[in-house]
Amino acid sequence: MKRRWPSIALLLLLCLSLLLSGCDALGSRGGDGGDGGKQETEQRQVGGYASVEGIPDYDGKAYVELEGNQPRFTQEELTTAAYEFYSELDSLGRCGYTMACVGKEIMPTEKRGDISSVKPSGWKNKEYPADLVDGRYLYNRCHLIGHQLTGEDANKKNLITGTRYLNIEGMLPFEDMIADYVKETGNHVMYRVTPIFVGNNLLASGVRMEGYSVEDSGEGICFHVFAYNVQPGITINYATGANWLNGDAEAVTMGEDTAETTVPEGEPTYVINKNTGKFHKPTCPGVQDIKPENREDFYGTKQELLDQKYTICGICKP
Amino acid sequence: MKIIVCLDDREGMTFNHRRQSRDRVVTADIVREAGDRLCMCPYSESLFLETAIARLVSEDFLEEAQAEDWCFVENRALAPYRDSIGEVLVYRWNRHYPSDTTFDLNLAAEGFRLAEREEFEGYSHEKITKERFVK
Repeated sequence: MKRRWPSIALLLLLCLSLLLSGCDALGSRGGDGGDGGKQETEQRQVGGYASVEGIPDYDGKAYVELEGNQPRFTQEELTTAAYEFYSELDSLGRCGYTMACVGKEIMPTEKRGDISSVKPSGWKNKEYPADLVDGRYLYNRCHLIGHQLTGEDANKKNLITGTRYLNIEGMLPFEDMIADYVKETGNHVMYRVTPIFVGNNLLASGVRMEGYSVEDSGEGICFHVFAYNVQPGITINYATGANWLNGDAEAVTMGEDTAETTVPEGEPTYVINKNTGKFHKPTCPGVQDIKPENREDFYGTKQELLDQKYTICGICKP
Repeated sequence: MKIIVCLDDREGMTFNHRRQSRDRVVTADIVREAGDRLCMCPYSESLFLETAIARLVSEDFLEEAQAEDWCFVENRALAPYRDSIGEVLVYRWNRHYPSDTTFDLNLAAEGFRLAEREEFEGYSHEKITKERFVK
């Protein structure tokens, strides 16, 4: 965990500029997570607003705007000193809220590392037809704060079990929007992601995402949304993470509610050689020659690897 | 008139009243394409303040533009002006960003054909695709 705080002078300057700008993007809440009387039935951590109160049911769109798309950052939370914060896991092994001031100074300069060692709560992965789940595997290890923003790899405090749909349709568009804005302007963006677990569920119902560009008082980035942890065509038991095709009976496919690893992960989509930067089909003969410390199993699409600057193996041509 | 737009993979233009993205290389290319004058709404002007191009800035810029003018459009519906649009220049971010306002013309259905496509690297975007549609 890295955490740096701005100087008092900078903070005062920011507060003053916000007051003068009359910005209405910020809530009047303090940093204790209270919301002025609104009942937070699922609140379990400070600062994250982990409640399903007021969030409509999924109706076909990957995310929904909340509270007029105005984030709840307080003036005291705004800073131009880049930092990142990750909550401790709770007693059920679940992630809490994460928060960062995203700036170029903490954005990654290297490719994403191996995150397969992390098994987030509710990790009961299963393979489905590719026309139903892009990448075939229902679950991704979803970064709460995307790798492209703070460069976190196998940080268990930053990875939740999320559907492919949540990862690609719900979260990635916002992460890319922030990353490209920061790269273009050199400005900073306050970003908070709060996974919302109902009761003792091991799988999050979704994530609350808030973003706000600091130097231009939200002119560039300003949003407050909830992204749904759903996958069209698939039914999910949020208590355990078990899942099955719509219309199938849960008992047929989920079996006993045992350990999280009872459902095998299956064969990876591709195998990465971290030493050469190439990726292979799992059946490629070259895979056998990859040293264990250089091998990473990858569950996702070819385009994702190309986006991460990996190159295609010239033998198997995946 | 001639139209310039920036779009994401889903034809998105803005989200929460803000442009989805910006890139100084794209801005420079728009200025080069527009030549003498660029028409825009007040929201768009901040992108061009540091350029030398002459600007027609007005909330009604689509009504005020002349036939030969280039109009940079970020947050306006274009369907009402379809009959007066002769050329469309599209810059694609090659990203999927959040959006709540999308480009409302189906260029093929409107009788436009793709006359030119090129790709170049932006400042903050790995690949920008530039497409020129003419009638």
